[in-house]
Amino acid sequence: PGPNCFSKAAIRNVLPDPDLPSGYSSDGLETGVSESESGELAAIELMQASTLKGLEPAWDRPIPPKFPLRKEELLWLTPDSEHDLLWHSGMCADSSRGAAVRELIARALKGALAPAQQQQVLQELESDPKLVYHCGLTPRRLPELVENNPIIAVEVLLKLMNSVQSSEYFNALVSMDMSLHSMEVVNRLTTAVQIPVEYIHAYINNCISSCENMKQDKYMQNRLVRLVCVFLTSLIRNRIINVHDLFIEVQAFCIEFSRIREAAGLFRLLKSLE
Amino acid sequence: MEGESEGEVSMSQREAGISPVVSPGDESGTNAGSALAKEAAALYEKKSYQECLSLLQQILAKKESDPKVIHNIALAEFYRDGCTDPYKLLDVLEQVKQRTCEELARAADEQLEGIGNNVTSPNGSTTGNTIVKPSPPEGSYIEDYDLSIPTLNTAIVYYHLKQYASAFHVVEPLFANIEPVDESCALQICLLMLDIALASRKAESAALVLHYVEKSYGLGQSGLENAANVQQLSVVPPTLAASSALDGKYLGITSSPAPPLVTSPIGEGSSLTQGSGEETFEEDALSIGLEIDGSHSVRSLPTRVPAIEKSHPAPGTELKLLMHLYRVRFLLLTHCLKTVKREVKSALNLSKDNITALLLKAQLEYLRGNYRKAMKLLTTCIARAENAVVPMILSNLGCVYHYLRKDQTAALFFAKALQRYSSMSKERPLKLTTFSQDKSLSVYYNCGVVQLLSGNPVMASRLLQESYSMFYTRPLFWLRLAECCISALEKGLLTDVSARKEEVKVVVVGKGRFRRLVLPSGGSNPSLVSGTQPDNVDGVFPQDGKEGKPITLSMAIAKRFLQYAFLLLERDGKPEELAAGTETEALVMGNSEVSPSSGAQEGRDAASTLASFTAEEKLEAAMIRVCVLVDLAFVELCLENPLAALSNAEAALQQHHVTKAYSFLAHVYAAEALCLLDRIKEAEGHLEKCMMDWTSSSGDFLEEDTAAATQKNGDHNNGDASSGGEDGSSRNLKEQMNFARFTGTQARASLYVNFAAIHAMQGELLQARQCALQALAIAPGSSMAVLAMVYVELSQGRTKEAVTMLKRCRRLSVSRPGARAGM
Repeated sequence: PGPNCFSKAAIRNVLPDPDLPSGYSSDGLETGVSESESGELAAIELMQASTLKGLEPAWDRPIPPKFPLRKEELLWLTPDSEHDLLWHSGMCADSSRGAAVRELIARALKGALAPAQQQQVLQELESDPKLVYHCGLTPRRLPELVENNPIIAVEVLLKLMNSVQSSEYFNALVSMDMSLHSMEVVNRLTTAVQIPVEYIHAYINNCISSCENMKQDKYMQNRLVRLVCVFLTSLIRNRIINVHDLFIEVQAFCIEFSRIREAAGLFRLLKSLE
Repeated sequence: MEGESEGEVSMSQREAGISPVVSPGDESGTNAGSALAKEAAALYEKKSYQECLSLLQQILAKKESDPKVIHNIALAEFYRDGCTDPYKLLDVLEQVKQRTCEELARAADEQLEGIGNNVTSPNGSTTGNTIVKPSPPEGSYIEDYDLSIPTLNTAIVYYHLKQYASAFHVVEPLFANIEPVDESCALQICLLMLDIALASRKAESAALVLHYVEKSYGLGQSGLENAANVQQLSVVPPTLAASSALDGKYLGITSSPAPPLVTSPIGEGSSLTQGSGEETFEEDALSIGLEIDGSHSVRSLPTRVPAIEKSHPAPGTELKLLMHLYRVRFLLLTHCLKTVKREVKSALNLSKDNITALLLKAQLEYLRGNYRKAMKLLTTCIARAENAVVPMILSNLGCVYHYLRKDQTAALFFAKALQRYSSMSKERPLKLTTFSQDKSLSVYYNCGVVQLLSGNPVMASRLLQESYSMFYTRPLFWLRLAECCISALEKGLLTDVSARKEEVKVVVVGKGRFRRLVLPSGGSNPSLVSGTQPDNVDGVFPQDGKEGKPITLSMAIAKRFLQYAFLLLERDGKPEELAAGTETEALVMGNSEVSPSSGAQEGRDAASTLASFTAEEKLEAAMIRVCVLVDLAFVELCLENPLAALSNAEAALQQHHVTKAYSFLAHVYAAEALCLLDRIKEAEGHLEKCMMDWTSSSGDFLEEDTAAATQKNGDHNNGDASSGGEDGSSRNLKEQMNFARFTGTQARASLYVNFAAIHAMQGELLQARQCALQALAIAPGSSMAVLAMVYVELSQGRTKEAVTMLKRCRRLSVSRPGARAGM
């Protein structure tokens, strides 16, 4: 290491400390020992004791303290709970569990099931709470189920409420094309459980834009608009949504379709809540 | 080798007629297989592993390379061999998982082909969203490829090996996707995750699991008796609950709490719909379940409790007890001492001799500072505890004794506990749980820390090293090891760096009028011993930890330890996220939203404890970070790397939560580093800054000095001062971090010494003298202050005064050349 402030400031670290009887000056004479001898000895000892470094200015570098001990750091020991390894009971097991339901769900994606079949699905789903995860339904295929078998769709969704995938299913539901069946499913769900409100909002927006876009079929449009109105009224009355979150959209919708009686009614409801 | 023994056994079994009737060419292979499987499972249950294995081999012969069979074989072999090779089991489990995945992929391909043929878009062109594309078999046949059991077993093995980080890593995704998992497996996942989360102090995860288990198994947080009620209330949204009560009436009108504003338009609305008379519309509306006249609105819906499956049987006492204990552990972890008491009580009500509950109760007393009570509980436990528990109690007693300031006794108890463990592992056949019953690693850690604090750094480092495999992910572990090194340095036990020279060693040469005094040359601070290569550290801690030879303490290795600690802290999160406590709160609140009526207050309490716990944890991490940086600066100075020292000291100063003591140290280290870098003006700036911080709050001096008086012993000022306080002292970490030594007079004295040096180095001898005098006034006789004054006197050519001054030094050693220094 090159020179630093300390080494540059080093000074001679040898200082004379003559040991003389009081009254004698340092230049004085006898001390008992022969002069030259003791001088020589001193020189030799000095060479042994000194280094090339001089005395540097004192610098205090405190030693850092230890991190304070907290009680949590010492481990308090208690017996662990026992966890035994789990035998795979699925070995050679009959993998036909739920095969019937899988089959039926696959069919339900393509067309309405007969009442008896529907009943069977519902029963089996009810009796085996985990079955819903193994019945072959995926978020992407949910719209097909909704269109063909809304009741089953509702049941399945209710069972999936707590699953991590629930948001994917909800997304699939609220972004599918508006139809009687999708509205039925949404409505039943909202009355049965609390669905995160953003999905309901998304669905309402979806409904409103569907109504607006259905220009070519006036009859169908009327029908849908009235349904949407009743649906919205029900949501508002049941306090499932807060009108103020969607006030502008819904108001615009009512105005656009003010010729329809239900829309006018909804409009009045909005006004009264303002 | 294995195969041979297998063969033999199955032969002997067949001879004995145990072998089930399965002819090799059986037509109904699966049926026979499942019969065999059942039998194997039964044998496994009966712990007849050898017989079980021979059956499994038969099954394997039929279902070649079936991962499930391989999985079960691995389990049975593991138990048969006395659980001796958990790592081998982990390997097999990994293979099983891989093979399952491969098969799943293959099945997916096949299924793709199958679907591709008969996919018809159900709604034709209208379904724009449903892309006509075969979906992968998500979920469809998933149970055939279920990974949850091998994954759970992997986590269990890691848990028993105390590798909590790995265990958590494995179990967390399982829990995240727990709904599809079978019941028996699901509960075990939950309990395992709870254990792991609690063991690795992940309070947030523990809270999540607790909440989930309470919710899905109907174990309310408060009384369990009315669990069903709570459950009902908790899930049905208020709207539905209200409406079903008013079934048959108009929802809005009759519901009294509704504001009048709402009622009138509803009336209008109803008349409007009723008057419409359009059948299609009504049909439509009816079909989607909307009420038109409202009369059968809610009844048409099934009243249900959707979130919770009713299939769960009422929780057994065992589970209830377990949950109480988990809750106690959670509350103790989050330091929620008031609520713990109640939980402990309910646990003891269910089983009054439960040793875990008693130990937790003792822990509660310990945390509250009632050491005598804790000791009493522990000693009564020890009499009736079974062998495996005794060492735990001994170790706990060690902790209590430490806080009673009896470190000798504490060390004795830890040693007893360790002795028990070592004799246990010799005499007892290994069970899987033996791994986890052997808590010697924790005892090693406890003992190591106590030894460190009572000034035995070398012993402490050996003990801590033993506990490596359990604690290496904790920054504090590495910090403690580094502290061992620093403590050893203090005691002059290091080979690479010389100890700080506490006494002034003067060599007297010559006699009579030729007598000369030779003052120590160079500085008095720790410095590299010539000939050492500071960066040459043996690879510390090989992967398995235990194999490594005991580490030799050195400053170079201290640096390494501190760097590990720092890296771990970096990994665990930035200190800036300290305010993130609200996030967790939101999380928990979000969860309790599902159950708005069930003890919302309790939910909030839990949320706030959790939030304060996370805040506390983060504060601790921030403090550790400061400590690590400051220690690093110190170590780098000792290793003569002023640049590195400077950057660490400056980094420390930039942290949030730098206490006064640490800010002082960081400034002083930075100043020294700057002097070594020949940047004296900047160095002076640091010292001035330090001085300014003090004078601006000079009122504190008195206070801190009195605090210093109460905390006498340097090593013991870490212990808690209040012995009976409800909180103990562990909570106010920030106060603890203000070591009186570094805020009080002593610190001021060293600051003046350093100021004297700064002035002297700039030739400002008058100011230097002033500062040295100040230092002497504060700490008369301190060697540093004396040396500072001696330097000034000598620089001014006043040799006689210098010698007189030197004689005032309290720790002066005078020696003759050749003779060993020391008086």
